[in-house]
Amino acid sequence: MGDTAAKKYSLKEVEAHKDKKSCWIVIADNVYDVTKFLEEHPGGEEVLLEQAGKDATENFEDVGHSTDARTMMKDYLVGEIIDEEKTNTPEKLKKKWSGDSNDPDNSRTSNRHWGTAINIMNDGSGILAMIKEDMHQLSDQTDKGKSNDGHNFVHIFPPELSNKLFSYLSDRDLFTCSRCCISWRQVINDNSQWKARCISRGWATINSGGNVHQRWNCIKSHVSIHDNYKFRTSPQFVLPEVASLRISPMCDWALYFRQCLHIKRSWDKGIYAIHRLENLKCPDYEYTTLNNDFDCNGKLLVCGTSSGKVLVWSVEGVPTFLESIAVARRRVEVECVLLRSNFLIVLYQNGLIKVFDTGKLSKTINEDDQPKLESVYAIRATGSESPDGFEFVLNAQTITEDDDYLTSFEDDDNDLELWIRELFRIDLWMGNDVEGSNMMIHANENIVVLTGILCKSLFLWKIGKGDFVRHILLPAGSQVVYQSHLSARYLYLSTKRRNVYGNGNPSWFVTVYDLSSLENSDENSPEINPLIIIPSTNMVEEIRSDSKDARIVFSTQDGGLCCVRFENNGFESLFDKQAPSFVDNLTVSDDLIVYHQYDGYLMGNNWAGEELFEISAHIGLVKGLQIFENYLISGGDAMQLCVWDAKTGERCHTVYHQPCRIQHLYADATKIITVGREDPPVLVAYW
Amino acid sequence: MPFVNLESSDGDLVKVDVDVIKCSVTINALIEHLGLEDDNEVVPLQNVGTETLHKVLAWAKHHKDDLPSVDDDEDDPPRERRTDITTWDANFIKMEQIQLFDLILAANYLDISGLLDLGCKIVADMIKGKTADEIRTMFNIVNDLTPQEQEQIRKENEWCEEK
Repeated sequence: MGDTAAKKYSLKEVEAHKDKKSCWIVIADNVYDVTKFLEEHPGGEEVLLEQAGKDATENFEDVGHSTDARTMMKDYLVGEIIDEEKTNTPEKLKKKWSGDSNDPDNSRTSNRHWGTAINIMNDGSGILAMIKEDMHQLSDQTDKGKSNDGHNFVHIFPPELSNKLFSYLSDRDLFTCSRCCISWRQVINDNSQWKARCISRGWATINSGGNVHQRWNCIKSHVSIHDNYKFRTSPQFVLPEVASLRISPMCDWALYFRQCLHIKRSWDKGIYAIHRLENLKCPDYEYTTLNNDFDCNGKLLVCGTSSGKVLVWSVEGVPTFLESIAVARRRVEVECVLLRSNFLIVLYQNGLIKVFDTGKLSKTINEDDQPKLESVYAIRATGSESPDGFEFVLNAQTITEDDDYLTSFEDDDNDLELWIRELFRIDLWMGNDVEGSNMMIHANENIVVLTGILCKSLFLWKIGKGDFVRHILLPAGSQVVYQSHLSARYLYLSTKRRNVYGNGNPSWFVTVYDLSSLENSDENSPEINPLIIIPSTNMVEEIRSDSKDARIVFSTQDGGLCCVRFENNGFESLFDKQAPSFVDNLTVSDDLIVYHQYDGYLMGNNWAGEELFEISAHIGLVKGLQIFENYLISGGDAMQLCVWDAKTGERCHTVYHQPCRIQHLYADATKIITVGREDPPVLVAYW
Repeated sequence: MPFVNLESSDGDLVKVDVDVIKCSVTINALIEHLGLEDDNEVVPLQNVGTETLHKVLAWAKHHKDDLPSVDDDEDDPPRERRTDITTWDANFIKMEQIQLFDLILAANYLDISGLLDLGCKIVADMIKGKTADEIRTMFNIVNDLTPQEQEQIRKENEWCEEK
């Protein structure tokens, strides 16, 4: 208890200080000089003077002081009673006091204290009467000064009851109340109080876990360390530094509530600023190139361009241009970019895959002389036509930077073009149904999957090492026909199988692999059975799964929309409906399935197939669609971005002055980023 | 008509119609659990003073013919259950602060949701729209926050203050 603890006094010495000029009291063998506290004592100075110069332990405990009071007492400690005269303070009292000393874990002592108070109340031992007596003393005292019959009910009620009462207050009033005094702040800082408020606003359900606030970690990491408000891309979710141990840290639900409330205000009202990212120091931006692909993880934004360059921006805090990854080979476009885990995966048109460690990238942000990002590893994928002319056989192998492959075609345009033509001859067979590259790459946080249109096999490897994990053969006669979907657990492939014995018409499927079984399978046997094969009436286009991988929904080429639920290694159809025209941009959350119909409508369904809303107000084709929390964000040919309420389909606000036709879209709590095919990325920052 | 004797913490006995006190979940459960053999059964209420007990009974008597409150869904936020306070209730609840708090405590102890609801609403109304200083004055709260602590709490709330 500080440096004064060494000073010892006898009871006789203490006895000398028994009036208003110098008033000492003894509590639990400690000596306190409460002269200055006389006027402040909530119970009145008379009570203290009555005990002046004496051992007041018993009275002090009887009245029942709050933890806060105990904490305050430390400021008045002057020393302790000499050992000979120490009273046999009961053990539990000593414990109480030692528990109150600067114990960092003790930030919620106030609650604990109330816990005992409730127990006593339940015992019916009459503490209530005592508190009331205390309160009467208090009012007697205040009557002398100002007339006020006020009573601090937080000190009278058990905390649960106080919280029930506080639950009747508006958010605004509750915030005001938390500023009144320590005990109010502590009682209001209660998970159940804030959870109930989150639930009533639809930000959580009764079953939501206690760690909800971690969903916003993306935002916490966004906290701008710059004071550059013009370029700020995030609200200031800065938790104030803990100034005092007397105030316990904000509880999880209180934090989550504040985050939700703040974001809701910005999104509902449309409080945003628009930044055109090419205006940032970005020497490599060429208006003549096209943006082939784009990805964003909230921290980094990457664009793969038709010039073969990959442009990287940091969009955390103040957006900055980071790096332009040099062209891998002349006239080879970037087909696909993926940001996963700490890696950037780039698929080039010629089948070269380079993987970069973005962790290294972030470290070089503030250095003037930026080292060019080197790939961690590279993989070469080549395709060739199989003898029967209908298959595309994929080969892949890891290569190193100094591999012959990287230099062999360097200045030999003819060879290169010939090779590419051979590689993509498959386009001719497919007619106009398939656009762009045959090669398809997908990744989750662990695994990268490489396959291609009409491929009979797929490769997958661990993202970090670049080791091949497996080469998998699809079931006999099956080929991949469209984009796949890769969740944390499953790989969903759109496949077809030629009907060998019938009329030759293909039949269509969603083939589902369990990634863990692929990883654990025998390296030398590529034939692994899929988990499930779901038949479809037509070619499956887009496949999406919910966050638990319990339900999937897929669209078919003829505008069908099917939803199935997994069950004991089988599946059950939830609905199967037909849209009046083509369907694309299938986007799902755990409550909502949204898609774009080619006749210009955005349709919202729930997982039972019931229509929730139909948005017809959108102008032009929709190219980018994303669900973020309770908002649906859409953008497309019309140069505007719309934010809708994802529950009702009502418009929240529109972001005008979009300088581009939107091709891709990313949205998180604080920003929307759009990239057009011809236009540079634009960042809409909310705060 | 069965009666039950309630004993206040001051030791006074009050004879009550079971029909009146049925709004109290606590007493209801007690009666059902123990059975009510004769009219001389005494239920001690160590947390309720005589004065408060009489207030509780006055309220219970007036509301004894109210429809039994539907078991509210726990998920339901209280603020959405809010309805207007009747004139009778408004007059009934006019009392000293300490009496009001005693009444809320008793309603909580006896588990009388209607009365608890009324009391909470009244206090919430007292707080509504007030500044922190006004609230401190109203409830005689000592501002024990240091300037640093006040700043900390202000920052916690600042995300949510109107801009």
